[in-house]
Amino acid sequence: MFNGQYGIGIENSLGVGGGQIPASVADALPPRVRDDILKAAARCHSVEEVRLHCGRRVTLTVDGGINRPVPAVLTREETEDVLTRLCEGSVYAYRDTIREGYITLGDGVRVGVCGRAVCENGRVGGVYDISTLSIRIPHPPPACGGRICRLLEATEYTRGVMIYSPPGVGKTTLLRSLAARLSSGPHARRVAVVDTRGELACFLSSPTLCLDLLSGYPKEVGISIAARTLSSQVIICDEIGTPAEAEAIRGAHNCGVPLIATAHAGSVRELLGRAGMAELHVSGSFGAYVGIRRRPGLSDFEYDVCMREEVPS
Amino acid sequence: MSLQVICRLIGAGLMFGSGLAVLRLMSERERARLYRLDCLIAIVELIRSDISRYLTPIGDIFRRCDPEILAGCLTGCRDAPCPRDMRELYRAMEKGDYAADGGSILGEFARTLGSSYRDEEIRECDVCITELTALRERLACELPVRRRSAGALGFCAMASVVILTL
Repeated sequence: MFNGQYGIGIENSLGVGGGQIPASVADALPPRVRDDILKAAARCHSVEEVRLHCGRRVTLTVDGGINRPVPAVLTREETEDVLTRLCEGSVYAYRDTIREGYITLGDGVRVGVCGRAVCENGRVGGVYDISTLSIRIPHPPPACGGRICRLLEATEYTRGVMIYSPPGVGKTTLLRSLAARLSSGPHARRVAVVDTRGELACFLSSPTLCLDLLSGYPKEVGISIAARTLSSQVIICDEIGTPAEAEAIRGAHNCGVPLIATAHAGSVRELLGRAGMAELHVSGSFGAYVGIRRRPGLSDFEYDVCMREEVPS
Repeated sequence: MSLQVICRLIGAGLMFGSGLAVLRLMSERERARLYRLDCLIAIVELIRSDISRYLTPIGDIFRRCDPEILAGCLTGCRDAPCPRDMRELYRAMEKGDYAADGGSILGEFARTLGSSYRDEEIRECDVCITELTALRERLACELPVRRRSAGALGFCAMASVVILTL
């Protein structure tokens, strides 16, 4: 049985400024090219990314990965001005995440940032001469994730589920849907969402959700807190991939808390080849590995489920 | 005493009173210029401190700023809305009575504030504070002289009008 009906507690918090571009992004675009971009976006079914390149044409990633150029070219000053506006006029406040290559806006929009990195002791100290801003538009989660919930129930919530796919398929959207599903309804579970980059939380602001949001925590710290001090029943975490995170997941598993996580991979074999993943597989932290693919025209994904026992050694 | 003399006396009294009021206004205006500079220095120091310690975004700094300091910065700016960031504050000040006092310093500061990283922002704040403090000291030195000159000029003008009236 699923925990609550789909859709409970999911809110559309985006103010949309032309087409499907959120107002926070539309307002930050240079006035000279704003209309061109918004008009191009309005002609598309679904805008996934707006890519602003200094000295090159703007491109929109639309309708499942098609890159569509817009006849608008930004200057360096305009590109840097867009970044300043996206940072609410306070670039310094986002320095830590800019060094990591991104910023996250309040409404869950994630902006990839690249330019000229200046390193100090082998670490990026700052990024200057911004050349590209890749603005990723979040989408309200569609009715999906039922299959994952059934997998969790099949293991009686003793093992987690690892979701994998190449980038841009919809892992984060699926996680949002799962967070809302699991934490709402008459059989709501205590769900902890470890949202390091601040992009999972959008659409999850409903007061009806039984949900703890660990925003900005490093994943390993967030997972540990959720398992040990928040007595969570399910932990949700996006894009794991380091040995430290794998260690934290093992710790949560030992505490009896299942984890739904995602990782970039094209197959189970590729996934288990990653650092720390083989150990997680051996420890049994995940009961199933689920690859996802989009199905054109349908709201739910196509799931490629591989139970732990079925994984070839 | 004839009606004409009474009218002259009343006229002279009114001239004297209005002269005093003008003198007072001039004196207050000089003090207000100084107070506004004090408030501007205070707000830039607050911005520096919040960026240095907490990396607080500019909007949050202005939201949490003491309203009296903000009002002080807008002395002489009639009907100015409460500013939400440095650019808005500068724009409001530009339209005010004392736009010349530190206007160019604030303009440059407002233009660049928030567009770079912490160390650079702190340097910009330090430069702005130093320049505003120097301007404030200059105005403070000039204040007694200005008040004396204004007083002397005003008194002479008032006295000559009274004499002419009588």
